Amino acid sequence: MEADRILGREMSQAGKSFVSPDMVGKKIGSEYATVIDDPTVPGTYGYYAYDQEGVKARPRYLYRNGLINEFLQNRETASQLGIQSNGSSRSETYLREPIVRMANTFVAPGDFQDDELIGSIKKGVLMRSFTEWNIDDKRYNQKYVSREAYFISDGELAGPARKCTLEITTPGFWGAIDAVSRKIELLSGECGKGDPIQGMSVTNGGPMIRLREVSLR
Amino acid sequence: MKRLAELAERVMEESRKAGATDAIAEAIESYTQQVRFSNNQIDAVNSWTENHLALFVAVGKRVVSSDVRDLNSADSLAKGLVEMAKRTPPSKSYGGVASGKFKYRTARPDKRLVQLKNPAKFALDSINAAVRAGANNVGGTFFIRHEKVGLASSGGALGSDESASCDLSVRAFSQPEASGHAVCCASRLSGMDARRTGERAGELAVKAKNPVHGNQGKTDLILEPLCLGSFVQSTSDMMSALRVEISTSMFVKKIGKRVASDEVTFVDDPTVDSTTTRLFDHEGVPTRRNVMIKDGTLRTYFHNTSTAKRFKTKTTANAGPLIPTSFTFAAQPIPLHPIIVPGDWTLEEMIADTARGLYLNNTWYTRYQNYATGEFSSIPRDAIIAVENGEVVGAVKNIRVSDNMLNFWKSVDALSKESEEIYWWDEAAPPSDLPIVRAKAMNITRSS
Repeated sequence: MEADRILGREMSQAGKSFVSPDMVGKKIGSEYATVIDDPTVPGTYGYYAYDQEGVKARPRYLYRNGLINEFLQNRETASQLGIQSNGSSRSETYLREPIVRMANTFVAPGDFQDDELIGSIKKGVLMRSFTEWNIDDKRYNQKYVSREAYFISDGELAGPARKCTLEITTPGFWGAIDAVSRKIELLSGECGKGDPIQGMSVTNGGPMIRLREVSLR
Repeated sequence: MKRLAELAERVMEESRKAGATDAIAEAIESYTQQVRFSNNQIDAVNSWTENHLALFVAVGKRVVSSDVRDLNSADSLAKGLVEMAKRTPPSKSYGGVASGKFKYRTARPDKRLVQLKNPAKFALDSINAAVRAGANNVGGTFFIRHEKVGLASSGGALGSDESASCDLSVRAFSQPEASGHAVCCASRLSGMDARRTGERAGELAVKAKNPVHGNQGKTDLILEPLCLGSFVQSTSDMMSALRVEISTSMFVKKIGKRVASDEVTFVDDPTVDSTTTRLFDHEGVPTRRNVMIKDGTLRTYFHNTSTAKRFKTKTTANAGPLIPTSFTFAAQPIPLHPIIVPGDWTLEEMIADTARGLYLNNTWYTRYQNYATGEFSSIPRDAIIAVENGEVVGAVKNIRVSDNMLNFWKSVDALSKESEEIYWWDEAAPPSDLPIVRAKAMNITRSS
């Protein structure tokens, strides 16, 4: 969803995207898939008021109710697409070029309590955290292996689960969501991109989400 | 160069006068030129002049390090840092700095590289060559790097180094899902073949046309050096004694044990002519050739003085930077120039000898679910070529190598005669000299 990636400027490093500029408005997931990148959340690791091209920061709705809504843009990519920058230009230091970056990226909250999500599942797994995360250079195939996970049986946690592996496509992941909880949690981290590589302070996370009928190994 | 060593020595001595019992100062001046290109055209030409002085001080076992970016203010760093060290809790793991009478070789950077003023030509040559080879969309980077270093330590190190290198990375597409990637690294301008690098990326992009979904299950893998570079990066990182000590390594308690097949000999050698040739490590210890894995058996870990003391051995001259860099710890032992010793195969022989396999051009996101056991996955990108009954039969997409890294090295049964220096971004780094290798029966998975 970074416009420089979509337009090919990062093609030899971070790669391209299976998303193309003409896919704005196209379906990417279920109606519960709303993904926001918002640098204006106070006190967060990815906070900023203005980006490094002087554009005022604002929330960007990347997916809205399952539809591709907008890309992250700096002035360069926005001008190529004939639109305005949405303030996503960031650099690690004054010595590096500002490029399109994420800030605080999270799934929008829903109506459920966490307990309700767990209680609604007859047979499943609660994945609290994961490791070995990787994703291909067109952002289509992704993999998560559970770090902390529990079996769910008849709506109850039924003991720890090890090495649950979710290997899934991007539309497959977002299309499988059928419920989202109210409580949001953001985790801080560093995102790497650019050449020379630039580490960037970000957060990501969101509420608990329920995926239906996905394959776990 | 001598100027930087004198500056480092002065700052180191100031630190001792202020109360430091140990000190290392490293002054670095670097000039980097970069040409970035995508979609068949140049996007940006950048150049950076970056200076800094890194200073490590110890007061007993109380250690601190920091740096300044303005060499004119370097002298003022010493006193403040020593005062900070005095207020710092002691480090249980600190084992002192290397001491001795060190002698260094002489650096001989290529003056033509240092003086090069038109780097864009190399980018354009590579784009044109890739297009002529059949690509329709080409991107990449071309770097020229020139660095001068002066280092002084309270252990007696006082040295100067200077290096120059260039590296080109070209990724070419012939279709939206058909690409090839090639790199060229050179310590001499005469070694930079931009046209051949672009041509090779273009040729691979053509071979990768019309890919079909790959199959899950066991298959032989033929990895070209660029792809192998990502595996070598994580493998060599785990040879750091610090990684072993904190149990984020598959090499814990593996000294003297088999960690690879008989065919694999893994060396670290920053003394050979390469883009990362260096005269001394970040403690000032003269660099040397270290055999890490000999005929499949692990011989040693990477050490600095502190880890060597804790492991009751000697430093391997692999002390890392005094201050943390992106995604790395400060002062940990690091690989400097990994080398996999070549074998006696040709690529053609490997393909002809493979009943069912995949030829992999490149990969990224080599990530571990368990560093202690080596379980990992990695996502091949660019040309993935299927081999059946000794012949190339087409291109593949959307696969993942999901296996165990120790199993990978134990499954290597063929290495090419030819090797090349490769470096790409932060995935295949540091620059390494690698052959093509074949690993038998590796596990392939894909998205459901």
